[in-house]
Amino acid sequence: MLTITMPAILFPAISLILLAYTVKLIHLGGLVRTMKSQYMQSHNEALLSQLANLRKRIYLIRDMQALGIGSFIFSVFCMLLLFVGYLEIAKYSFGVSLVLLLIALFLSFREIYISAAALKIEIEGLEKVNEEGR
Amino acid sequence: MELTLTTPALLFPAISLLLLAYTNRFLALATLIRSLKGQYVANHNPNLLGQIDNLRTRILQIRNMQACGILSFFMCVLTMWLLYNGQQLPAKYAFGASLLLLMISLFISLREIQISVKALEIELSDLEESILENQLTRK
Repeated sequence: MLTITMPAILFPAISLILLAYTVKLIHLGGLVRTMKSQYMQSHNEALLSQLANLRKRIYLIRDMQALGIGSFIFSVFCMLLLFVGYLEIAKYSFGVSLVLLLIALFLSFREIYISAAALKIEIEGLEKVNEEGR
Repeated sequence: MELTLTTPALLFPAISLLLLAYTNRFLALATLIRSLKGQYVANHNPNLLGQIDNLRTRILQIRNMQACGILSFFMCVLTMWLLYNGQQLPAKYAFGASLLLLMISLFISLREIQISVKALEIELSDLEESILENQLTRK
């Protein structure tokens, strides 16, 4: 049985997760810009594959944010419906909200999984430099 | 449904965190616009103009998101105050208005996110051109 306080339990969780996503996006955006100017100067191939990785992740984060916001909208909508007294529709709205949050978290998992790849490329470049130095 | 004094309070952490996220975005975009403008004045790259245009639209959207969020917060506190005074009916309207404003704010946020990647796309678009040029000169 849904009460008016139930969807509100999701609120702080969703907003914190959105905050985390936003910080990530801002950080990656800045990184893309600096890497691009580095590439313009040095034309290092390793930077290109890192940029491709970052770009993919930025798209993932955008989708995560969109899904998170969608989940938030549906849970506020659910609260509104409960408040007005439409119990049946409110249940569906809450269900949609939870499903959207699940998809967002799943994408987040994938993003974290590929996030180590960019660093790996960076380190491989370092190893090459080391070998050439010898 | 009966409103109690604690019901509007449930929205407080959500709205304030949301406002924090908006503020973060706003600050990042504002500094970006400043640095891009500085770059544009230095090298007159037309790519930068497209990016600045995109950032400008988004900053206006974020301002509206923040305004709706703050109003929603205001209505929430007003609801609490009305409940405290024992005025159930106006409190209900205020709470409904608060929820609606929060939804509007979230909708604008959704639209902002949809166009958010465009500036970076423009930034990288001339990179793709330069890669092509590179490969041509190699041949």
